[in-house]
Formats: sequence, structure tokens, C-alpha cells
Amino acid sequence: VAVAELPIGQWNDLIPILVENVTNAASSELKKEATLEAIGYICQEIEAEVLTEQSNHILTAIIHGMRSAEPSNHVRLAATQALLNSLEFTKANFEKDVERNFIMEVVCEATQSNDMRISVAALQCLVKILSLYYQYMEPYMGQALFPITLEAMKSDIDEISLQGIEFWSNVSDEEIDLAIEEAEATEIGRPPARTSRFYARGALQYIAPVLMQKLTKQDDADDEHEWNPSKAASVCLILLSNCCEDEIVPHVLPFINNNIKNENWRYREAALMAFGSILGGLEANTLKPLVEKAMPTLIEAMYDTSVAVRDTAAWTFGRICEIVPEAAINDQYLKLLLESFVNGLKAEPRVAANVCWAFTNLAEAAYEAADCGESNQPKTYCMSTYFDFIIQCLLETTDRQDAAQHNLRSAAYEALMEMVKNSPSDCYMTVQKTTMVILERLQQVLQMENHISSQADRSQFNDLQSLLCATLQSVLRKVTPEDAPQISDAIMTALLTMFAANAGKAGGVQEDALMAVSTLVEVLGEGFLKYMDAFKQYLYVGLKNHQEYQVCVAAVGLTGDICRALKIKVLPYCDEIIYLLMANLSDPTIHRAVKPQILSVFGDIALSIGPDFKKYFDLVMQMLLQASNIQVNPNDYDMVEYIGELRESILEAYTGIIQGLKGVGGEVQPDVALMEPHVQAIINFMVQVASDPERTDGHMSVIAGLTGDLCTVFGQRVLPLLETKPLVELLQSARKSRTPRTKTLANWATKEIRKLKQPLASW
Amino acid sequence: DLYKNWGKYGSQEERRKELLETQKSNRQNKVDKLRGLINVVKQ
Repeated sequence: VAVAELPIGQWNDLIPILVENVTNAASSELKKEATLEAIGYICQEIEAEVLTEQSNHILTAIIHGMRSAEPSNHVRLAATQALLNSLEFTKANFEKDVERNFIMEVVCEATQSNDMRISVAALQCLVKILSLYYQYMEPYMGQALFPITLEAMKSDIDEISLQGIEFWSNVSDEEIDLAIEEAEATEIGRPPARTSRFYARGALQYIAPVLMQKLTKQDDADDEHEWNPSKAASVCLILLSNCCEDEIVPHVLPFINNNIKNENWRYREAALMAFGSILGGLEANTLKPLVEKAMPTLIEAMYDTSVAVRDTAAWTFGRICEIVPEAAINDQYLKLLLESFVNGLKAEPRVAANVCWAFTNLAEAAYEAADCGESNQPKTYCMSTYFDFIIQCLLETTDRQDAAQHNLRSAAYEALMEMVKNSPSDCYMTVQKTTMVILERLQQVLQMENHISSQADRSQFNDLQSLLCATLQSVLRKVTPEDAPQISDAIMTALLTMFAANAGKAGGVQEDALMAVSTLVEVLGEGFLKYMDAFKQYLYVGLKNHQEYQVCVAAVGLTGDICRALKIKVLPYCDEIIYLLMANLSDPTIHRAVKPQILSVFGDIALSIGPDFKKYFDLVMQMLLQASNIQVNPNDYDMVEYIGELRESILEAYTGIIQGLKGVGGEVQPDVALMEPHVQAIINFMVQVASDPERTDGHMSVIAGLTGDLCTVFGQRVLPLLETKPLVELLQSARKSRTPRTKTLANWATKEIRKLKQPLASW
Repeated sequence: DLYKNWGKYGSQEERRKELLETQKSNRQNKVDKLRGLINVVKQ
């Protein structure tokens, strides 16, 4: 009730009543506990700003309940948990030395309670305080926070140990952010707003040994949903490495060297885990020789007797292929490594799933390392000889009986997709074969529809359909334009069957199927026309799917693809499409993510049907002008980002409409005159976006393009409107952009302006 | 999520992003060609 009423200014005496309940010496233990629990729940649920003004009173009650002098542990626990929930709106109290000192003293004292629950809650408070108020922690770190959390890490009680580890994970996380902020500030020549105190670097020599000790306390039964200090220690090492970079090496390497061949699997696994965890933060010069030296031992670990060791070895290879692939992709180790991977695909699901992830990363790295010559695609690469065999093994893995465990099926399909996506020309035959296998599987899976009896089966069936559609996308992207028409009938038949069976059912499947159609449209171009009459009903169903907005987004994107592919031949479908897009834009309940996509598609439609867009012109322009006026709270980052996206789409739509009405030939068609009454409003909008501090490179590029288009179409008439300070400044910045397209468009627009200013120069 | 990259297989989001980027790039390529800026096509 409080969460409903306090934000609208009702029940204003509630907080004073609750405070009185806690601080009144005559209140019973039960009353104090219940009151503090109520305060905790309110603080947890309510928007922080609602209680900011009353934070003093609330804190008084909480701190009163948390004191060591409080005789009831129930009250102390409820108070400590309430503090955890109220920390967000006590900023003003943390800014004052005296108040902060008192809060910190009470919290630190509570960490030492004999009651484990109080101690854990107090440690949770320290973790959160560190993240929220890092800049105020200096006076407490050496004297209190460091010794308290170090002892907590060492604790044999998992709950306490986890909080100690979490504290140092948070310190690392915070200091990584501060390092990024500092680098960004340096780049623009300003001092950073906040600075790192490098607590993690200072504490490294003390906390690293504890973390490695914790790594050796693995659970015997590997429960993937169970969180424990051993797993937390691995995450903490990852973050510490990213934060402290090479400085971590001397604190971890001796442990790795001493234990990687230990008789006890726990130590071998811990050593491997430590090795895999620190890779992400190291400098290239340290990393590469370190990994190269370890390669034989790591490959050996892939055949270890312990499943945990093999699992972590496979994960470590995944990390190596992601972070330092050059250490794996070389003549000395690649063959041995691939053999161990293929062997790992037949191992326990947890091992095989990590091997799949390693293949996913290796595929991309190997492709990037290949020599492309002059073309977009390399002719061959280091895995060409093994490609067909690896694909066979991955296909077999997707079909394993136990592939539902540890996400193995998804992981194997994912690896398959990545291998196909990153395949050179000499592997094309395997891509063709894989396309046929996927198509067969799609046909088989559709026949299973009637045999599904349980919810679990249904869920797996849906996941499989999604994965097959996703794999279809990746193979279709590689299929040549000559081969595409030979398989498109079979693919489209399967997809249409899937749409028919899935209408109104799993959104994820419909989305992936729509995305597969998008890829097919891209490959077939105008050849997709023959499927339009059969397919259009499912496109429209997708466009109407407001509940599952991702389906709607996929359908909108596909509409754009169809327009680009069919060009003028999309005209017979445009009335219905425009009607549905307009209905979506006018629906206040539709997810906002759909709207920018729709606006961009208006540009695609205009560009495709050219002069025939006239009949939709007024309606669409009205929508675009209306969307241009949307304003948002500049402090709401999500909305600011959304408006940025919306603006780019509006400008894309203007571009498409101008280009479409102007006509595709060299000569400007008279229909473009329709746009003339709106030119002033469009340029005003361009100026507004250009002047916004949140302007992105995407905005610069689309404005630069549109500037050039306006010059080309309307000539000298628009020059005075375009030559405003924000647009001139935008073009200057865009010419210096790091994005080649933005730079090119800005240079082109500048030339178009110059041409208009010096008409004689072209003679 | 960092532990052994839990969640690393949640790739539908990646596919969405990739497709949106492809669609955007196809749209831009088409417009750039009409502007006579053919070489901008691949970045």
C-alpha cells in the first residue's frame, strides 16, 4: 500500500509512525522487527527519489535497530536487511563525514555478529556501499573493509565467503569502469570526474592466494545452477585480471605451475581455471608466450581422467580462441587441438558444450586470419582440410540423445552456424551438403508436430525449429545466387508449413522463421516474387503481432527487405502493408522498439515504388513530422537512446522518400515537388538533431547524406536553409569521422554545396 | 554470467542485431548507389 500511496503524496504520516515504532524503547521486539521488515520492503520496491527527503528519519530507525547494543538478533537482522534496501536514497547521508562514519561503523560492527544471517546481510551492505559510494571509501578501506572482507573470503561458511569474494569482484568492476572513464576523459582532454584508488591492485597479493584456495573447493556434483565460492572465485579472478592486467601474473602463475599436474583433480582443475580466468586482462606480449608454452599441457588436459578438468580445459580453449587465437592457430598445434576438440565433442555434455563454444570462437578467428586477397571471401584457410569432418561431427553432436543437457544442442548448432558463416570458398561443397541436411531436418521436424505430448517436448520442439531456422539463415548467406533458386522452393515450402503450424503459437519460432525468409529474400532478390501470394498472409500476421514485439520487428524488417528486392513489383501489396504499419504506429500499446523500424521501412517503400508513393505521401509525412516533435526527459538514458534511434529512422525515411520521388534516373522527376512544402521543417529537424549533444555518428552520416540529396534535388533554393552553423559544424565533424561512410557522405555533401555556390566552376 | 560464460549461447539476440545491421547496410548501399557513391558500399 505504501508503494502505491507514497509516490502520489498520500499516507504522509506513515514513515514517522514506522520510525517511532523502532526508536520507542517501549516497542516490543516483534513490533520493531515487523516495522523494520516493512521499511525494508518499502525501500526495496519504491522509486528511490520518493523517499530521499525522508532518508534521515528512515536511517535513524534502521541504524537504531542495527546497533550492537540492540539485544534482539531478529531486530538487528531486519534492520540490516532494511539498510541494504535503502542505500540508494541515502546519498545525502553518505556525503556528510559524520553520518557516513556512523553508518560505516555500525555496518562494520554488524559484519562481526555471531549470527551468520546478520553478518551476511552486513557484508551485502558493504558490497553495495562500495559500488554506490566508492569515492568515499578511502578512510575505511585499509582499517576496516580490507581486513573484514579478507577474513570473510577465507570463511568456511559459504554464504560469508561469497560476500567477501563479491566485494572484491565489485571493487575490480568499479575500477575497470573508472579506468575506462579516465581513458575517455584523457581522449577528449578533460580530467576524469572520478578517479580510481587502485584498491584491487593494492590488495592483489593478499586476495589472489585466497581465491586460488577457494578454486580448489569445487562441488563434487556439478550442479550448474548452484553458486558457490569456487565459482565466485573464478569470476573474481576474471575481473581482477581485467582490472590489474599483467600485475596479476606473479600472484597466480606459481599456483598454476605447481598444480596443473597435481595428482588431485581438484588442484589440476583449479590451476586450469586460474589460467583460463586471467587470460582476458593480460597484455599481448605477456599473453601469447604464456599460452604457447602451456599448449601441450592444455591439450593433454583435454584427455584428463577427470570430467571437471576436461570441462575446464575445453572452456580455457574457448577463451584462448576468443582472446589469443594466434596461439592456437599455428602449424605446431592446430591439428592436435582439432583432434582433441573432435574427441571432446563425444564426451560428457558439459565438456562437449564447451568444445562447441571453442569451435565457435576458433571459426571466426581462423577466418579472420585467412588471406582474402582482393576478394571479400578467402579461397582457403587453415581449417579447410578438416572442415567437412568437423561439420559432420557438429551435426552428429546436435543429434545426440543427451543434447538437451548443458545447452549442448544450441551450442552445437551455434558452432555449426559460425563454421558455415566463416567458411572460405573451398569449403562450399560442405556448405551445400549442410544446407540439404538442415532442410531435411526441417521437413522431419515439421512431421513431429502431431506427436508432441508434454510441455517439455513442446519447448524442445520449438527450440529445435528456431535453431534450424537460424542455421538456415547462416547457410543461405553462403549460397551463391546461382544455387539459391534450386533450393528455394523446398525451403519456402518448409517455412510456409512452419508458419501455418505456428500461427499464434511460439513467437520465437515465428521470429526465426521470418528472419530466415529475410535471408532468402536477400539471396533471391526479385525471384522471391513467386512466393509472395502464398507468403503475404504470414507477413501480415507478423506485422499484427503486437504482443510479441520481436516478431513484429522481424516482420517489419522483412517488409523492408521485400521492398528492396521486389522494387516496383511490391506495389500490389503496399496498400495492406501501409495500412498495417500505420495501425502499428498509432497503437499506444505497441512496444516502442517497433516504431523506428517502421519509419525506416517507409523510406524503403518510397524508394521501391517511386512515383506511386504519392498516394501514401500525406499520411506518411504527417506521421514523420509528428514523430520529429517527440521530446523526452534528458535524464532518462533509455529514452534518450530510443529518441536517437527514432531520429535516425525519421531521417532515413526522408532520404528514401526524396530519392524515390526524385526517380532513379539522372533527371529529377517532377513528383519530388510534393516534398517542397516540407523542406523547411525537414531542415529544422536536421538542425535540431545536429545541435543535440547526444548526436551520434549515425546521425551525422544520415544528415550529411540528406544534405547532399536536398542540394541535388532543390538546388540553390535550399542553400540558405542548409548553411546554418549547426549543419556546417556537423559536416566539418563528419568529414573527420572514423567511419568511412560518414566521411565519404560528408565530403560528397560538401562538394554538392560547393557546386551550388559556384555554379560557373562546373563550366 | 561470467562463470564459464554462462549465457554464451543466448544467440537469438545476436542474430537479431546482425540482421538489423545487414538490413540497415543494404538500405544505405541502395541509397548510396543512387547517389553515385558506389564505392561506399562495403565498410
